[in-house]
Amino acid sequence: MTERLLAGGWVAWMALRAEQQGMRTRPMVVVVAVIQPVALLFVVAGTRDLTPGEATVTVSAVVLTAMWSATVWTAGGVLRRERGYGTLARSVTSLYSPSLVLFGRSLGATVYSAVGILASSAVVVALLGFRFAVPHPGWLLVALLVVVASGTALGMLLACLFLVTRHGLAWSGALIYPVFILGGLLIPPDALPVWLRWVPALLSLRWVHEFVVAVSGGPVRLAPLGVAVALTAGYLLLAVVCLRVAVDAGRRKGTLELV
Amino acid sequence: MGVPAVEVTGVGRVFGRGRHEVVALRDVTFEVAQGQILGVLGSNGAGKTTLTKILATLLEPTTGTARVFGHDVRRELRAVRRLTGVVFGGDRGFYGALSGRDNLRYFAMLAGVGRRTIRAKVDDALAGVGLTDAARRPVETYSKGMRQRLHIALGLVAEPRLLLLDEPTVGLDPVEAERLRTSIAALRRTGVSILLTSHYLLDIERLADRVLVIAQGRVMVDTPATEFARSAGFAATVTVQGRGPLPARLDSYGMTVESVEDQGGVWTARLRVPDWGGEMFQQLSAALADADVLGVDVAPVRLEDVYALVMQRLAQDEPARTAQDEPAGAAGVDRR
Repeated sequence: MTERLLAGGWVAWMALRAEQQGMRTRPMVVVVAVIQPVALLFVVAGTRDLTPGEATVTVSAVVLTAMWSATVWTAGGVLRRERGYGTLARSVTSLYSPSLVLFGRSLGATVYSAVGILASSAVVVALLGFRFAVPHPGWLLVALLVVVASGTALGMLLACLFLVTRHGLAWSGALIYPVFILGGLLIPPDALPVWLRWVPALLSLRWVHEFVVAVSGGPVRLAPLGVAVALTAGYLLLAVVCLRVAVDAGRRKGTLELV
Repeated sequence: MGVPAVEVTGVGRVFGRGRHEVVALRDVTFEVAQGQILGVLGSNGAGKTTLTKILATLLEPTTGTARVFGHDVRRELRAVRRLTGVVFGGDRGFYGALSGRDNLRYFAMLAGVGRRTIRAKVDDALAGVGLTDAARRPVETYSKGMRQRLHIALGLVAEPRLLLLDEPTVGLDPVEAERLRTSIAALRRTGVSILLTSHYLLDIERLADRVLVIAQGRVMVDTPATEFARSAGFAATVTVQGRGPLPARLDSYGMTVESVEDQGGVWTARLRVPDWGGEMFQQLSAALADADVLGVDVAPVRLEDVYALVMQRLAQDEPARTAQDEPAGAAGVDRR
C-alpha cells in the first residue's frame, strides 16, 4: 500500500515538474500571471486611498480573478496541448491512472500560475504602499490552499471538456468573462438577474472570495470555505469521470492520436 | 515455445459511420512467436499503423480478439502495457521545451520504470541511441533523425518483452538506419519479440523471421521470410551483355527471359533463374558457350522485387475479391 502511494505521489510529482518546465516557455503564462494581475491592481486601486479592509478585499478579488484566467489558459489547456505535442495517447494510456497524470500536470500549472500571480501582486502592493487588515493570517493561508486545490480540480475538468470538443481554444476565451461576472468578481452577485443567481453558487472562487472578505473584516465564518471545498471535491470527481469517459471513447473511436 | 507473444484472431477495425465509414482492418489473423521478428509490409493506408495501435492498446478492435502474451488488449490493458514498448516515428510525440533526458525520464516513468533505476536506465537508453551528448538540449532543437532516435530510446527504456516498431528507420540517414537495424537484431538475441512495420524493405529483409503483407486491411501473405523470397518464383536475375547473334537456348534449364534489348549490335538479356548455384552456373555457361559475351551480372532476388510482384498479383485479383465481399455488406466486416 505504502509502495503504491509512493509510486502515485512520484507520478504526480513528475507530471507536475514536467508541466512546470514546459510553462517557462509559454508567453500566455506571463499574460495571466503577471500582466493581468498587475494591470487590474493598478486600474482598480492605483489612484485610490484604500482602508486596510478594502485593500484586502480588492487584492483578494484581483488574485482570484487572475487565478480563474490562469486556470482556464494553463491548467485547462493541459490535454489540448498534449494532443498538439502528440503526447496525449502516451500520457493517458500509461501504466498509471490518467487522472493521476492529469492531476500532477494541472497542479503544476496552477501552482506555477499562483506563484506568479502572488509575486507580481506583492510587488504592486509594495509599490502602492497598501496596508492590509489580516486578523487571521492562518485562515488566509488555508484559503490560498483551497484556491490552488480548486484551480487544479477545475483545470482538470476543463481540460477534459476541452478534449472532447474540437473548439477548446474558443471555449477558453468564451469562459473568461462570464465567470468573472457570474462569480461576483467583477460585479456583486446581487446585481445579476434573479434567474441567474444560482450560477455563482456553483463557482468555488466566489465562496473563497466571500470567506476572505469575511475574515478580513470580522470573525471567521467557515461555511463559505466548506462550500468551496465541497465544490472542489465535486469538480475533481467530475473530472475523473469525464477523463475516463473521454479516454475510453478515444480508444473506441480512434481519436487518441499518438503522433 | 509457450504462449505466443502476439495472437490476433479475426480482428477488424472500422472508423466512422454511414457514408464516412472506413474499414481499416478486415478479419486479420496471425501470430508472433516469442523471440520472433514479424515484418509487416503494406502500402500507405493498408492498415499497418491501425494494427500497431490496437496491439499498443491505443485503439480498440471493432471485431475479433488480440492478445499480447495471452493478455487481451481490450480487457487487460495494464498487463499488455507493462509488456509492450511502442516506437512511432515522426517529429511529434515529445515536449519540445524539455530536454531529451527530461522527456525520456518522464515517459520512462509512465512506462513503469521504477524510481530507483530510472536514472541509470534513461542514461543507458540515451547512450544506446547515441544521444548522450545532446541529452540536455531541448528536443525542439533536435534534428529529425535525433528525434527518431529518441523515439527508439523511449520504446526500449522500459525493457519490454514485445516491441512494436512503426517505421523505425524513417528520417534516419543510411548509417543511422543500419546502426538501428543492428540494435534491433541484437534485441532478438535477448528474446524480445518484435512487430516491425516498414516501407523500407531493407529493414524487413535484414530483420524479419516472418513477413505479413497487408493490403486494404486484409492479410494477403503470412509466411516465413525465406518462403516469401521464394514466392517470386525465381532466385536471381542474371544480366548478360554480348555481341553478335543472341544465343538460342537462353530460355532452357528453367531460365526465363525477362527482356532483351539491342543497341548498336550489343544485346542485353535479363534472365530469371530458379536457383543460383554451381549447377545453374554450369547450365548458363553451356547456354552462352557460342556467344560473344561482354559481361555477366548476377543480382539475387530482393524482397523489393518479391513485394512488387505480390502487389501486382493482388491488384490483378482485386476485382474478384471485391465482388466476393459485396454480399457481406458494404465493408464486408461484421460490426459490433
